[in-house]
Amino acid sequence: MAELFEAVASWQTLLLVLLVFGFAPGFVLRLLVLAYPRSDPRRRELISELYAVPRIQRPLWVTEQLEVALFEGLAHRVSATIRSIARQRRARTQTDKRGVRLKAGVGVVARVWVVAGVVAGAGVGVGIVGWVWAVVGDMSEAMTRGTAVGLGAMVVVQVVLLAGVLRIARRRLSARARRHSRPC
Amino acid sequence: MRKTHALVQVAMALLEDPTGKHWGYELSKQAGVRSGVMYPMLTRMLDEGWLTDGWEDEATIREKRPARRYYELTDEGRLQLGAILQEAQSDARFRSLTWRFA
Repeated sequence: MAELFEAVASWQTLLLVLLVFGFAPGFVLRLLVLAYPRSDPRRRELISELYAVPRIQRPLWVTEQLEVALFEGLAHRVSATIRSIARQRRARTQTDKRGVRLKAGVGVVARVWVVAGVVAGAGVGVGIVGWVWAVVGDMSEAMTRGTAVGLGAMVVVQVVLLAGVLRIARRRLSARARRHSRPC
Repeated sequence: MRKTHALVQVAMALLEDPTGKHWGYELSKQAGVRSGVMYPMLTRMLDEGWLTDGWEDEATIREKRPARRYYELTDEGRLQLGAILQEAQSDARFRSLTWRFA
C-alpha cells in the first residue's frame, strides 16, 4: 500500500498527468464524457465547450470536468441502468413461455461454459503444479507455471466450447431460415 | 431548488441578459461558479422549466469546431430567478456577494 501511495505521489506521476491533461485534453475529455449515457446532450456539449476555453486553461478545465462527469454523468448512467433493469423485469413477466425457455437454455449453456472452463483449467493447472514440483522440486515455480498453464487451458476449453455452441446456433438458425423460406 | 451562493451567482449571471443566449463556459466564468456545480444546476433548471436549451446553427460557425449548446431563460425562469435574487438581497448569508442588481 505504501508503495502505491509513493507511486501516486511521485514526480513521474505528476509529469504524466501534466503530459496527458496538457497535450491531449480533447482526448481525455472524450474519455470523460463516456461517463454520460449515450443519449445525454451533455456529452456533445462538453466537447464543444472545450473549443471556447482558452488553450492555456484547457488542461485545468478538463480536470474540472472529471468532477462533472463523475457526479452528474455516472449518476445519470446509474439511474438509466436501474430504469433499464426495471423495464427488463417488466418485459420478462410479459414474455411468452418460449422466451423463458430460451433464456433458461442460454443460462444453462453459460453456466456449463464457465464451469467446464474453470474445472478444466484448474485440473490442468494442478497437474502442471504436481509435475513441476516433482521434477524441479521448487513449489513457487510450480505454482507460477501451473497458474499460467491452467489459465491458458481454461481459455482454450472455453473458446472450443463457445465455437461449438455458436456452430450449433448457426445450424439451427439456418435450418429455421430454410423452413421459413419454403413456399407454402 | 435550494438557495445557495452558487444558485444566486448563476441567477445574477443569467439575469444580466434575461433575453439573451447563455453559453456554458462563459456563464461559469461570469458567475464565478465551478462547472462541476454549474452544470448540474443548469440541468435542474431545465427540468424545472426555467431554462430552454438549443444548439448553435452549424451554418453560422466559421471556425472548425462543433456546434455549442446554449441556454435561454423562460418567462417562468425570469420570474423564479428574479424572486430568488430579491429574497437573497435581504438575506444575511448573501451579504458578501457583490450585487449587480438594485
